[in-house]
Amino acid sequence: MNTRKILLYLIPTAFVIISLVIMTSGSWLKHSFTDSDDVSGYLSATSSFVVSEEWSEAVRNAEQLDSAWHEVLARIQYSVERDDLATITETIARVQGAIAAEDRASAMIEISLLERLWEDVG
Amino acid sequence: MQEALVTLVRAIITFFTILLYARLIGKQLIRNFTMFDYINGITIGSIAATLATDISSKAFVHWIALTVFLVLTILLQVIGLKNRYLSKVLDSEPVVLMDKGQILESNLEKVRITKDEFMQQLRSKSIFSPDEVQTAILEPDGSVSVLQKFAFQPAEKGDVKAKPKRVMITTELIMDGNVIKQNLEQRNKTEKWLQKKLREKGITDMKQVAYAAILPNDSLYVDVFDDKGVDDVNISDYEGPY
Repeated sequence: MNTRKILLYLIPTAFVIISLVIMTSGSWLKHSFTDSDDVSGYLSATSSFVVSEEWSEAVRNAEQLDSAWHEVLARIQYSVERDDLATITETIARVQGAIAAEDRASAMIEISLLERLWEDVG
Repeated sequence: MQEALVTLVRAIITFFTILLYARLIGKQLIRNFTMFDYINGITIGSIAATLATDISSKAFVHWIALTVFLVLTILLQVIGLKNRYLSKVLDSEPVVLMDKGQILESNLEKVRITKDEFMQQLRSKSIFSPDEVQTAILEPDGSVSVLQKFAFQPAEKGDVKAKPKRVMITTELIMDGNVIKQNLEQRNKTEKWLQKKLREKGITDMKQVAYAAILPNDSLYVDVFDDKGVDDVNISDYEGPY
Protein backbone atom coordinates (compact mmCIF):
# COMPACT_ATOMS: atom_id res chain seq x y z
CA MET A 1 0.00 0.00 0.00
CA ASN A 2 1.44 3.38 -0.94
CA THR A 3 1.59 6.40 1.38
CA ARG A 4 -1.39 8.10 -0.24
CA LYS A 5 -3.61 5.10 0.32
CA ILE A 6 -2.43 4.75 3.91
CA LEU A 7 -3.23 8.44 4.53
CA LEU A 8 -6.62 7.99 2.87
CA TYR A 9 -7.61 5.53 5.58
CA LEU A 10 -5.45 6.89 8.37
CA ILE A 11 -6.75 10.47 8.36
CA PRO A 12 -10.49 9.60 8.51
CA THR A 13 -9.81 6.92 11.13
CA ALA A 14 -7.75 9.36 13.20
CA PHE A 15 -10.51 11.96 12.79
CA VAL A 16 -13.18 9.53 14.04
CA ILE A 17 -11.00 8.53 17.00
CA ILE A 18 -10.23 12.16 17.91
CA SER A 19 -13.94 13.06 17.59
CA LEU A 20 -14.90 10.14 19.84
CA VAL A 21 -12.27 11.14 22.39
CA ILE A 22 -13.49 14.76 22.40
CA MET A 23 -17.14 13.72 22.72
CA THR A 24 -16.57 11.20 25.51
CA SER A 25 -13.66 12.80 27.36
CA GLY A 26 -15.73 14.35 30.16
CA SER A 27 -15.58 11.32 32.46
CA TRP A 28 -11.78 11.28 32.64
CA LEU A 29 -11.00 14.95 31.98
CA LYS A 30 -12.96 15.89 35.12
CA HIS A 31 -10.31 14.28 37.30
CA SER A 32 -7.54 16.52 38.58
CA PHE A 33 -4.19 16.88 36.85
CA THR A 34 -2.74 19.45 39.28
CA ASP A 35 -3.48 20.59 42.85
CA SER A 36 -5.38 23.63 41.61
CA ASP A 37 -8.08 21.64 39.75
CA ASP A 38 -8.83 19.03 42.40
CA VAL A 39 -12.61 19.56 42.59
CA SER A 40 -13.20 16.31 44.43
CA GLY A 41 -10.51 17.12 47.04
CA TYR A 42 -11.77 20.68 47.69
CA LEU A 43 -15.33 19.39 47.87
CA SER A 44 -14.58 16.84 50.59
CA ALA A 45 -12.36 19.37 52.46
CA THR A 46 -15.17 21.97 52.33
CA SER A 47 -17.59 19.32 53.58
CA SER A 48 -15.32 18.44 56.54
CA PHE A 49 -14.89 22.13 57.52
CA VAL A 50 -18.63 22.69 57.36
CA VAL A 51 -19.25 19.63 59.56
CA SER A 52 -16.75 20.93 62.13
CA GLU A 53 -18.09 24.50 61.61
CA GLU A 54 -14.66 25.95 60.83
CA TRP A 55 -16.23 28.64 58.66
CA SER A 56 -13.12 30.60 57.62
CA GLU A 57 -11.46 27.40 56.34
CA ALA A 58 -14.75 26.39 54.69
CA VAL A 59 -14.93 29.77 52.90
CA ARG A 60 -11.33 29.42 51.64
CA ASN A 61 -11.91 25.85 50.41
CA ALA A 62 -15.22 26.76 48.76
CA GLU A 63 -13.40 29.53 46.83
CA GLN A 64 -10.72 27.06 45.75
CA LEU A 65 -13.48 24.63 44.84
CA ASP A 66 -15.04 27.29 42.62
CA SER A 67 -11.78 28.10 40.85
CA ALA A 68 -10.93 24.38 40.47
CA TRP A 69 -14.36 23.79 38.93
CA HIS A 70 -13.82 26.58 36.39
CA GLU A 71 -10.52 24.97 35.39
CA VAL A 72 -12.24 21.62 34.89
CA LEU A 73 -15.19 23.28 33.16
CA ALA A 74 -12.91 24.60 30.40
CA ARG A 75 -11.78 21.03 29.69
CA ILE A 76 -15.06 19.14 29.85
CA GLN A 77 -17.39 21.66 28.19
CA TYR A 78 -17.04 19.93 24.79
CA SER A 79 -18.43 16.62 25.98
CA VAL A 80 -20.82 17.42 28.82
CA GLU A 81 -24.37 18.73 28.67
CA ARG A 82 -24.54 22.46 29.16
CA ASP A 83 -27.36 22.15 31.71
CA ASP A 84 -25.25 19.85 33.90
CA LEU A 85 -22.37 22.33 33.83
CA ALA A 86 -24.69 25.22 34.69
CA THR A 87 -26.26 23.25 37.56
CA ILE A 88 -22.86 22.52 39.12
CA THR A 89 -21.77 26.17 38.79
CA GLU A 90 -25.05 27.23 40.40
CA THR A 91 -24.77 24.69 43.23
CA ILE A 92 -21.21 25.81 44.06
CA ALA A 93 -22.55 29.35 44.38
CA ARG A 94 -25.27 28.07 46.74
CA VAL A 95 -22.63 26.25 48.83
CA GLN A 96 -20.60 29.47 49.04
CA GLY A 97 -23.72 31.39 50.08
CA ALA A 98 -24.67 28.88 52.78
CA ILE A 99 -21.10 28.91 54.14
CA ALA A 100 -21.00 32.72 54.16
CA ALA A 101 -24.26 32.64 56.16
CA GLU A 102 -22.72 29.98 58.40
CA ASP A 103 -25.80 27.87 57.77
CA ARG A 104 -24.59 24.35 58.40
CA ALA A 105 -27.79 22.54 57.35
CA SER A 106 -28.15 24.36 54.01
CA ALA A 107 -24.45 24.00 53.26
CA MET A 108 -24.61 20.24 53.86
CA ILE A 109 -27.68 19.87 51.62
CA GLU A 110 -25.97 21.74 48.78
CA ILE A 111 -22.67 19.88 49.27
CA SER A 112 -24.50 16.57 49.18
CA LEU A 113 -26.22 17.61 45.92
CA LEU A 114 -22.89 18.80 44.53
CA GLU A 115 -21.25 15.47 45.33
CA ARG A 116 -23.97 13.65 43.39
CA LEU A 117 -23.73 16.06 40.44
CA TRP A 118 -19.94 15.72 40.38
CA GLU A 119 -20.24 11.94 40.39
CA ASP A 120 -22.68 11.97 37.46
CA VAL A 121 -21.00 14.57 35.26
CA GLY A 122 -19.01 13.37 32.27
CA MET B 1 -18.54 27.98 29.42
CA GLN B 2 -17.32 29.31 26.08
CA GLU B 3 -20.40 28.50 24.03
CA ALA B 4 -18.99 29.86 20.77
CA LEU B 5 -15.86 27.73 21.19
CA VAL B 6 -17.91 24.63 22.03
CA THR B 7 -20.10 25.20 18.97
CA LEU B 8 -16.97 25.71 16.84
CA VAL B 9 -15.51 22.36 17.94
CA ARG B 10 -18.84 20.57 17.52
CA ALA B 11 -19.39 22.12 14.09
CA ILE B 12 -15.93 20.95 12.97
CA ILE B 13 -16.70 17.43 14.19
CA THR B 14 -20.09 17.50 12.43
CA PHE B 15 -18.70 18.91 9.17
CA PHE B 16 -16.03 16.27 8.76
CA THR B 17 -18.31 13.49 10.03
CA ILE B 18 -20.90 14.38 7.37
CA LEU B 19 -18.17 14.58 4.72
CA LEU B 20 -16.80 11.20 5.72
CA TYR B 21 -20.25 9.60 5.97
CA ALA B 22 -21.38 11.02 2.62
CA ARG B 23 -18.30 9.45 1.03
CA LEU B 24 -19.09 6.15 2.74
CA ILE B 25 -22.73 6.18 1.62
CA GLY B 26 -21.45 6.81 -1.90
CA LYS B 27 -23.02 8.29 -4.98
CA GLN B 28 -26.17 6.20 -4.73
CA LEU B 29 -27.84 8.79 -2.54
CA ILE B 30 -27.57 11.38 -5.30
CA ARG B 31 -28.08 9.14 -8.30
CA ASN B 32 -31.15 7.20 -7.17
CA PHE B 33 -32.88 9.67 -4.97
CA THR B 34 -35.84 7.56 -3.87
CA MET B 35 -38.40 8.81 -1.37
CA PHE B 36 -36.55 6.86 1.33
CA ASP B 37 -33.22 8.45 0.35
CA TYR B 38 -34.86 11.85 0.42
CA ILE B 39 -36.28 11.40 3.91
CA ASN B 40 -33.08 9.72 5.10
CA GLY B 41 -31.05 12.68 3.78
CA ILE B 42 -33.27 15.19 5.55
CA THR B 43 -33.08 13.23 8.81
CA ILE B 44 -29.29 12.92 8.63
CA GLY B 45 -29.08 16.67 7.97
CA SER B 46 -31.34 17.40 10.90
CA ILE B 47 -29.34 15.20 13.29
CA ALA B 48 -26.11 16.79 12.05
CA ALA B 49 -27.50 20.29 12.65
CA THR B 50 -28.46 19.31 16.20
CA LEU B 51 -25.02 17.76 16.75
CA ALA B 52 -23.37 21.03 15.73
CA THR B 53 -25.56 23.52 17.54
CA ASP B 54 -27.60 21.97 20.36
CA ILE B 55 -25.06 22.33 23.13
CA SER B 56 -27.70 21.72 25.79
CA SER B 57 -27.23 18.02 25.11
CA LYS B 58 -24.16 15.83 24.68
CA ALA B 59 -22.59 15.76 21.22
CA PHE B 60 -21.96 12.06 21.58
CA VAL B 61 -25.63 11.01 21.60
CA HIS B 62 -26.29 12.86 18.32
CA TRP B 63 -23.11 11.42 16.85
CA ILE B 64 -24.33 7.93 17.76
CA ALA B 65 -27.67 8.64 16.03
CA LEU B 66 -25.82 9.90 12.93
CA THR B 67 -23.64 6.79 12.92
CA VAL B 68 -26.66 4.49 13.31
CA PHE B 69 -28.26 6.15 10.27
CA LEU B 70 -25.04 5.66 8.30
CA VAL B 71 -24.75 2.01 9.31
CA LEU B 72 -28.41 1.29 8.47
CA THR B 73 -28.13 3.08 5.12
CA ILE B 74 -25.05 1.08 4.15
CA LEU B 75 -26.71 -2.11 5.43
CA LEU B 76 -29.75 -1.53 3.22
CA GLN B 77 -27.49 -0.75 0.26
CA VAL B 78 -25.67 -4.06 0.79
CA ILE B 79 -28.99 -5.94 1.22
CA GLY B 80 -30.20 -4.34 -2.02
CA LEU B 81 -27.09 -5.56 -3.81
CA LYS B 82 -27.32 -9.11 -2.46
CA ASN B 83 -31.07 -9.70 -2.57
CA ARG B 84 -33.16 -8.54 -5.52
CA TYR B 85 -36.47 -9.23 -3.76
CA LEU B 86 -35.58 -7.16 -0.69
CA SER B 87 -34.17 -4.47 -2.94
CA LYS B 88 -37.57 -4.18 -4.59
CA VAL B 89 -39.32 -4.17 -1.22
CA LEU B 90 -37.04 -1.37 -0.01
CA ASP B 91 -36.89 0.76 -3.13
CA SER B 92 -40.29 -0.10 -4.70
CA GLU B 93 -40.73 -1.04 -8.34
CA PRO B 94 -41.15 0.91 -11.57
CA VAL B 95 -44.79 1.52 -12.50
CA VAL B 96 -46.08 1.74 -16.08
CA LEU B 97 -48.04 4.97 -16.54
CA MET B 98 -48.65 4.74 -20.29
CA ASP B 99 -48.64 1.70 -22.52
CA LYS B 100 -49.31 1.46 -26.29
CA GLY B 101 -50.15 5.16 -26.23
CA GLN B 102 -52.85 4.70 -23.55
CA ILE B 103 -52.71 6.47 -20.20
CA LEU B 104 -53.21 3.91 -17.43
CA GLU B 105 -55.43 5.85 -15.02
CA SER B 106 -55.49 3.09 -12.40
CA ASN B 107 -51.67 3.13 -12.16
CA LEU B 108 -51.61 6.93 -12.03
CA GLU B 109 -54.03 6.71 -9.13
CA LYS B 110 -51.97 4.01 -7.47
CA VAL B 111 -48.87 6.24 -7.44
CA ARG B 112 -50.97 9.35 -6.68
CA ILE B 113 -49.82 11.37 -9.68
CA THR B 114 -52.31 13.65 -11.41
CA LYS B 115 -52.54 13.82 -15.21
CA ASP B 116 -51.27 17.41 -15.02
CA GLU B 117 -48.17 16.31 -13.15
CA PHE B 118 -47.66 13.48 -15.62
CA MET B 119 -47.94 15.88 -18.58
CA GLN B 120 -45.45 18.16 -16.84
CA GLN B 121 -43.01 15.24 -16.55
CA LEU B 122 -43.44 14.52 -20.27
CA ARG B 123 -42.85 18.18 -21.16
CA SER B 124 -39.67 18.19 -19.11
CA LYS B 125 -38.51 15.47 -21.52
CA SER B 126 -39.39 17.67 -24.51
CA ILE B 127 -42.52 15.66 -25.25
CA PHE B 128 -45.42 18.04 -25.69
CA SER B 129 -48.01 15.58 -26.95
CA PRO B 130 -49.05 12.31 -25.24
CA ASP B 131 -49.66 11.01 -28.77
CA GLU B 132 -45.86 10.68 -29.16
CA VAL B 133 -45.58 8.25 -26.23
CA GLN B 134 -45.43 4.49 -26.67
CA THR B 135 -44.59 3.63 -23.05
CA ALA B 136 -43.97 5.77 -19.97
CA ILE B 137 -42.64 4.32 -16.74
CA LEU B 138 -42.42 5.93 -13.32
CA GLU B 139 -39.05 4.96 -11.84
CA PRO B 140 -38.51 4.39 -8.08
CA ASP B 141 -36.54 7.67 -7.90
CA GLY B 142 -39.62 9.60 -9.09
CA SER B 143 -38.42 10.29 -12.64
CA VAL B 144 -40.43 9.21 -15.69
CA SER B 145 -38.71 7.21 -18.43
CA VAL B 146 -40.35 7.52 -21.82
CA LEU B 147 -40.16 5.36 -24.93
CA GLN B 148 -41.46 7.37 -27.89
CA LYS B 149 -43.46 5.86 -30.73
CA PHE B 150 -41.28 4.81 -33.65
CA ALA B 151 -42.42 7.70 -35.85
CA PHE B 152 -41.28 10.25 -33.26
CA GLN B 153 -37.93 8.71 -32.40
CA PRO B 154 -34.95 10.74 -33.63
CA ALA B 155 -32.88 9.25 -36.46
CA GLU B 156 -29.60 7.81 -35.26
CA LYS B 157 -26.25 7.63 -37.02
CA GLY B 158 -26.82 3.92 -37.60
CA ASP B 159 -30.01 4.72 -39.56
CA VAL B 160 -28.06 6.77 -42.11
CA LYS B 161 -25.18 4.27 -42.07
CA ALA B 162 -22.63 6.87 -40.97
CA LYS B 163 -19.06 5.58 -40.64
CA PRO B 164 -18.26 4.85 -37.00
CA LYS B 165 -15.63 7.11 -35.47
CA ARG B 166 -13.54 6.46 -32.40
CA VAL B 167 -15.11 8.38 -29.54
CA MET B 168 -12.67 10.33 -27.37
CA ILE B 169 -13.04 12.70 -24.47
CA THR B 170 -11.55 16.14 -23.97
CA THR B 171 -8.24 15.94 -22.12
CA GLU B 172 -6.86 19.01 -20.36
CA LEU B 173 -3.17 19.64 -21.05
CA ILE B 174 -2.53 23.08 -19.54
CA MET B 175 -4.30 24.71 -16.61
CA ASP B 176 -3.28 28.26 -15.64
CA GLY B 177 0.08 27.94 -17.36
CA ASN B 178 0.93 24.57 -15.79
CA VAL B 179 1.32 21.50 -17.97
CA ILE B 180 -0.54 18.39 -16.77
CA LYS B 181 2.09 15.80 -17.64
CA GLN B 182 -0.08 12.85 -16.62
CA ASN B 183 -2.71 13.81 -19.23
CA LEU B 184 -0.07 14.35 -21.90
CA GLU B 185 1.20 10.82 -21.32
CA GLN B 186 -2.33 9.43 -21.36
CA ARG B 187 -2.87 10.84 -24.85
CA ASN B 188 0.58 9.63 -25.97
CA LYS B 189 1.87 13.18 -26.52
CA THR B 190 5.07 14.88 -25.46
CA GLU B 191 5.83 18.38 -24.24
CA LYS B 192 7.75 18.92 -27.47
CA TRP B 193 4.61 18.17 -29.45
CA LEU B 194 2.65 20.58 -27.27
CA GLN B 195 5.24 23.35 -27.66
CA LYS B 196 5.22 22.85 -31.43
CA LYS B 197 1.43 23.08 -31.57
CA LEU B 198 1.47 26.23 -29.42
CA ARG B 199 4.14 27.85 -31.64
CA GLU B 200 1.88 27.18 -34.62
CA LYS B 201 -0.72 29.29 -32.82
CA GLY B 202 1.84 32.03 -32.13
CA ILE B 203 2.32 31.18 -28.44
CA THR B 204 5.94 31.02 -27.31
CA ASP B 205 5.53 30.62 -23.56
CA MET B 206 3.24 28.10 -21.87
CA LYS B 207 2.70 30.58 -19.04
CA GLN B 208 0.59 32.62 -21.48
CA VAL B 209 -1.90 29.75 -21.70
CA ALA B 210 -4.88 29.71 -19.33
CA TYR B 211 -6.37 26.50 -20.66
CA ALA B 212 -5.38 24.02 -23.33
CA ALA B 213 -6.95 20.67 -24.14
CA ILE B 214 -7.05 17.97 -26.78
CA LEU B 215 -10.62 17.88 -28.09
CA PRO B 216 -12.53 14.70 -29.07
CA ASN B 217 -11.63 15.38 -32.71
CA ASP B 218 -7.91 15.30 -31.73
CA SER B 219 -7.40 19.01 -32.36
CA LEU B 220 -5.85 21.32 -29.78
CA TYR B 221 -7.98 24.01 -28.13
CA VAL B 222 -6.01 26.86 -26.58
CA ASP B 223 -7.18 29.80 -24.50
CA VAL B 224 -4.66 32.45 -23.46
CA PHE B 225 -4.89 34.76 -20.45
CA ASP B 226 -4.87 37.84 -22.70
CA ASP B 227 -8.49 38.26 -23.81
CA LYS B 228 -7.85 41.27 -26.07
CA GLY B 229 -10.35 41.96 -28.80
CA VAL B 230 -13.22 40.47 -26.79
CA ASP B 231 -15.80 42.77 -25.24
CA ASP B 232 -17.26 42.07 -21.84
CA VAL B 233 -20.43 40.10 -22.37
CA ASN B 234 -23.30 41.24 -20.21
CA ILE B 235 -26.61 39.55 -20.80
CA SER B 236 -28.33 41.19 -17.86
CA ASP B 237 -31.32 43.39 -18.66
CA TYR B 238 -31.20 45.01 -15.26
CA GLU B 239 -28.99 47.93 -14.41
CA GLY B 240 -28.64 47.08 -10.78
CA PRO B 241 -27.69 47.52 -8.01
CA TYR B 242 -28.29 43.97 -6.82
